[in-house]
Amino acid sequence: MDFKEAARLGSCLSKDYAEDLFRLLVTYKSISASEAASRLNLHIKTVQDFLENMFSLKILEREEVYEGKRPYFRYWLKTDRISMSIDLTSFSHDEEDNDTRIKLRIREKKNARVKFTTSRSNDYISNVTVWMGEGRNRMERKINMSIPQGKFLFHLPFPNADYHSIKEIMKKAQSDDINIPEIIDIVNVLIEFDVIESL
Amino acid sequence: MYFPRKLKPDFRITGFIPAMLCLSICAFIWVFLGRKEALLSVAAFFILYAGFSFWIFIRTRNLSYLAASNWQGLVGSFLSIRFGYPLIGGVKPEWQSILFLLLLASTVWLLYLVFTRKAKWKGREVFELASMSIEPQPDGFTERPHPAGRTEYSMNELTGFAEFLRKNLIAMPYPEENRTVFVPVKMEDEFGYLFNPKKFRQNRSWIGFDFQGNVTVNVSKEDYIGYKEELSFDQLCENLGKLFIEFMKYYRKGEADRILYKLNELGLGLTY
Repeated sequence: MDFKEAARLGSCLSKDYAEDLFRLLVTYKSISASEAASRLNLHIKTVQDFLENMFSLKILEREEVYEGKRPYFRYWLKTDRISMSIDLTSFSHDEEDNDTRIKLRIREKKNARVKFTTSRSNDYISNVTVWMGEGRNRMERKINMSIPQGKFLFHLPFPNADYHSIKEIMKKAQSDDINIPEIIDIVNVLIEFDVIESL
Repeated sequence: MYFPRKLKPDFRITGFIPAMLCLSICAFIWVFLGRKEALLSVAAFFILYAGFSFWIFIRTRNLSYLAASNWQGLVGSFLSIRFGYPLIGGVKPEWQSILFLLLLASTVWLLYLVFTRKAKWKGREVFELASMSIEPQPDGFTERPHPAGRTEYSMNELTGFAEFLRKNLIAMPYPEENRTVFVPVKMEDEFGYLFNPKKFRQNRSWIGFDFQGNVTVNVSKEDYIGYKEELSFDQLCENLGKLFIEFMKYYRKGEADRILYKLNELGLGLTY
């Protein structure tokens, strides 16, 4: 199950009527949205959405039936157990040592509307404040750094300096390889905010 | 040796304003109250100045301010007992002669210190030296500090180095929790430092030596726009860091006089 599906399932299960609906689904051989809605005194659209979500998540099965009126769906449980398993490592950008992303050559962008604040110990950047937009639409976005990210940014080349690869900057900042994903993450964010430019 | 100047000329006369103000007050007193009262006010101003110079000496330990304090005190005293309107009567002629001789000796000492640039705040020299080999390159400014490298020193050496830089008016030390920060002070900026060092420190360029040997540099916008052209900012920070690392090396080797020689070699004026 990917994260989006899990989020949808979690959202459905958190509804206060979800338990009652599953109780009906377990009790009935099959049930339509209107039957369930009338039984639980809910709006038919609410029940319809819930059942469709469960169907798309492959928890319910459905069949279209014709009984002399408009066709409608009857739903029944496809499984008697729901398990949610999310692989969180899929969020990691870990690659091998020859990761192309740490070869990306970067430096601070010229005239970037940004303020770097150093930590109390003055050896890393504790946060970056970026100003976006113009005039009344001007917005301030403050991003707090983890210590490895802050140390990395402390060694980021200045706007007119030569571009350095992420790997070179990490070496200067004495960062561990274990910090590569979070450093790449902040580099991507700052590229997006026009604070860092890459070659 | 000729060194091209990279900094804009400084035409500020902050240091002369109090002197001109005092002279104007004395002139008014002369016109409206009389000569004796004017002399009294001049003597009083010199004594006040002597106190002020001594206070600066206590703050910086720079010998030229002790010499200035001494000279101003002697001038004030001399005015009090001479010129036909002695404010303090009954001083024996021998004592007056001794005071005169002391004043002469003090004048020679003070002039010696002024002309050997011992009395000069050397911030401009620091920034000129740091920018010497840098080419113009626009749009490079950033407020971020620059890690300028590492060097070796003990805590005692750092303390001694800070004392040396302060005593010679090269950069004023600000001890912090885990490092010492040096802020170069230019001529005419010294009053800002003397009257409110904490406020002066804000938005100023600094060079930080931490207790692990890391050197960090920050060049302020105010100092950066003090250059005639937009210089390559990363090179400027790099050079400023290297300059102070070199100063520290000279100090550790017991060759601190070389620091003064390098700064004085630039041949900047005595009052700017």
